[in-house]
Amino acid sequence: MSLRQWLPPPQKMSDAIQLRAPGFANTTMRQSLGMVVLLGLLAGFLPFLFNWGQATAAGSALPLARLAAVGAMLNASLLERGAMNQAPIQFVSGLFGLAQLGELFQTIAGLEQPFPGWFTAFLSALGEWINWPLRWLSLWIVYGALVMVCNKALGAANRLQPFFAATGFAAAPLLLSGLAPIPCLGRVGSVAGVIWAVIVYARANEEVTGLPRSRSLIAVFLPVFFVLLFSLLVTVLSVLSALLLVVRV
Amino acid sequence: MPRLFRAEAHAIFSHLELIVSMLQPQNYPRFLGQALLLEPDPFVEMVDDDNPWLEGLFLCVCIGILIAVARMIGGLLLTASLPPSEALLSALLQSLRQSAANGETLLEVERTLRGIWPFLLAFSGYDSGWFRLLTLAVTPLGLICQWLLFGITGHAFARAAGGQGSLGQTLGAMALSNGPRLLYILTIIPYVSIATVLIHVWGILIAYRGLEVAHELPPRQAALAAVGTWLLLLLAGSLVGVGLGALMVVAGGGL
Repeated sequence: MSLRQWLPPPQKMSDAIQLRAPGFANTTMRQSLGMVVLLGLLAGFLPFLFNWGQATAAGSALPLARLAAVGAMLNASLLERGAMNQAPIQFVSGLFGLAQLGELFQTIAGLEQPFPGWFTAFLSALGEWINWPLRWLSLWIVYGALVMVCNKALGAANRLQPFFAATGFAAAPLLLSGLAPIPCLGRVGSVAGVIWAVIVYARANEEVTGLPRSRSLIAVFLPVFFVLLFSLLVTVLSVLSALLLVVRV
Repeated sequence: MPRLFRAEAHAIFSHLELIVSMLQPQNYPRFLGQALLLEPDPFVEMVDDDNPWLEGLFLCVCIGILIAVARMIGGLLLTASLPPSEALLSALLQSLRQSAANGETLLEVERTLRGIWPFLLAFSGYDSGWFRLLTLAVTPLGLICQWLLFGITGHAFARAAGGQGSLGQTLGAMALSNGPRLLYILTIIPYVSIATVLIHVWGILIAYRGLEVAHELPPRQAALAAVGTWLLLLLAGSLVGVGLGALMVVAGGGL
């Protein structure tokens, strides 16, 4: 099995990100899958190095290093308030105060683990790195399935494989989101990458479904409203059930 | 008597040997790879197999064992990369005791925390001790149960939609919808998290292709059967979950 079967030619990628129609044709789902995974790994490489460095400095796993950073931030903000003669923020809950929470986070991060610090840091940063292509894969497949349902409802006649093959090209501009650890430039790059990816996705959908632009755009954005509506419903239900539980207890 | 027993044992072993010889595990990686890409070929081969349900069962067992082993190794690595759970719990409790909450509330919170701590450890794979070995057996069994439920319900839906396939063929084709679960093998590396929604949605897409091929259904009917099956099982699962939760609350007199 050659690399060609797993990746589209660079010219196709170039055409796709420039929104040219030939970029979205004659690509297989296998090639798109390979592209999404490879680009996800590439995008996650710089954050991986950054995370590894951060966790190694803390001598612990990445989540604990982040917890320690939050703890330090909480303590610093409390000291700042004290220096400015402002009243300290009282309890965030009935159990923990902010200062206590900050201290707890730092204590947990300071606990010794069986593995050496650098290796723990490497393992956790590696896991976080592998999550990059997995997140992109989730977005591509799950959001794609929802868009496909909308496409069908709006009269498209295409099949799943060519749809996934074409929409996979949206991963190419997302490569910019890998610049995130760079101050300033990273945020601008991430935002630009996401907007560009949405445009490429909409263009790919229009090209592969053959729907008029307005309908294709509706199909691409309708799932966002569904997802928002569903999240709202889940939140309301969770709040209601929590209230019921509190009333019962 | 011993001769009769020997003859029976020989017959059983011959039968088992014949069944095993029918299996084609060497084709599973190709089947799963193609199914993940929604290609129809593996479903056609599965449906045309002599014993599609047996092939599906063995495939589920293989996937289940791989996932279980990966989870076990991942759990061990996670445990070694985090502080001991006892130290973590005592740090939490110490911090709790220093809080301004009154004694009764503190006692209640401490009791609850101590109560749920073993469950948290068991389900996260962190410092879960012997529970890890249990997952080795539970994971393949759970996967087989899910596959049977999904397969039988999917078969009923497909038949209702006008499908022509047999239950064995449906089970064989639906076994391939477990393909996305292979991603769980990546959890051998700690801190890798696989979105459950990805596994389910990808699984539904594969099941849709499977029902389409196994029952020769038009795309719309096949899609409705696959989504309907999943929704029904989700509803049933939710009802069972809520029922069990209610039972626990009633039996325990509160949380």
